[in-house]
Amino acid sequence: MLALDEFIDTPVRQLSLGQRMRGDLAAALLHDPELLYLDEPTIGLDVVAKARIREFLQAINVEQKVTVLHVGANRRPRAIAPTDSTYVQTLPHRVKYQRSLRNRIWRPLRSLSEEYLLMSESPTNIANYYNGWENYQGLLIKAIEPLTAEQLSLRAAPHLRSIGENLLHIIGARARWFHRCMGEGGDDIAAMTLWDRKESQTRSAAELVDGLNQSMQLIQQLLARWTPADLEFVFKGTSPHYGDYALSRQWVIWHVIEHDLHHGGEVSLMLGTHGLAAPDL
Amino acid sequence: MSETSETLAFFTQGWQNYQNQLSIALARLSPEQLALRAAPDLRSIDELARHVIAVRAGWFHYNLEEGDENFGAFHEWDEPGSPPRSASELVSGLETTWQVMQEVLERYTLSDLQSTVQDEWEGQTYTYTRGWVIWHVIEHDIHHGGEIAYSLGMHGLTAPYI
Repeated sequence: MLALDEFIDTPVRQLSLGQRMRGDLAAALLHDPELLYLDEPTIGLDVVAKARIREFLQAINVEQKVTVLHVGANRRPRAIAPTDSTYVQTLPHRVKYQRSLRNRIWRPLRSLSEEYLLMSESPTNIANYYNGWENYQGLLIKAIEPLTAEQLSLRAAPHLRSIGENLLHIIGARARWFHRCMGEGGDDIAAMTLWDRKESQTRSAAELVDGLNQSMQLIQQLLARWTPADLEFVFKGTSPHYGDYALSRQWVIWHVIEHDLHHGGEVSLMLGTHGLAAPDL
Repeated sequence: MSETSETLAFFTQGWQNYQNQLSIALARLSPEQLALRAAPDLRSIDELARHVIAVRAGWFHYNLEEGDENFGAFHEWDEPGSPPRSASELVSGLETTWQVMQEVLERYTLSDLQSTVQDEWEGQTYTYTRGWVIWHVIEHDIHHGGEIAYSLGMHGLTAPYI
């Protein structure tokens, strides 16, 4: 596939960039590696040469089960082939391997879609998957911003959370999942993990709006930083509710979304029950 | 990164789990319980569930052009004058509409999310990205799911625990 016979007898210094890369790839594969690390393998090549390299990488991944770690210019490293139990944590300009990779239990992927190799079309962060979350919060804030302390204390039944308690619960849950579970955010977010405790103080509408905005700001920063590969990172720990848990970042993000929306719906119903304007979806 | 990260398949598990919890809560309700509402001017539990199902069909069938006519017919479930549904019909409606949505989520990629569809509403044409539509159905499902949960809770009935 590399068509080496076209230039097999040509001195290296006379080869084109694309020919050198094809030669380099052949040399890199001489010892049948499990993992092939490529630093900008298509940089400087024309469209045809790029396509040829990508086609070759896809073929060796699928046919020879070689895992390919592909780093592109101005982009974060892209791992081709993680399995259920492995991941690569990607950071600008460096790659941090999980222990399982160092221990060589990284295994090639059984199949590979072409998109993995088309780096220019691959998302570098996950923000676009969650567009709309911030907008939903905007609708919620619009509804609660004008509420008085008395209105925030309204509830539909004595055993159910009040409007204010539901909002404190939304903020507290965000903080616990993002800070305690995933280790993100500073002291401000850490303090919010306690906002929905029974002994916690009540908050004004302005404080609740500020809590929602601060926690959402952190969430948006993280969504803009995390890559699709980061979604598979697994957090392990123990909690009173979940016991010993092993939850992926993807699961945590989804859970915070459903928690936000579910309790947002409860807030909405309480507002409506008391004749107050509720978020209009 | 697994293959699922490139499509929206990773949404399906969490979303389906939410629906399952909602279905479990609805499945045990009698017609009288389904008719309960938080206030006279608000939707009943049955009406909320039918609204969730109908809106799914509306966006996925008439805007994203997915599913067959039977799927599209669910859109009529919350039209004025539509009959109440039994718990088993509601659970079946959630499950049937979910099947179509799940197939779409497993097929759509990020580039699909960025493509647009048009919608007409009260004589005006609106343009939405498919990503907006997907998100809107998610927020609609779960927001009204929360309303169902609260309606159940205030009447002493078991609600989904999130």
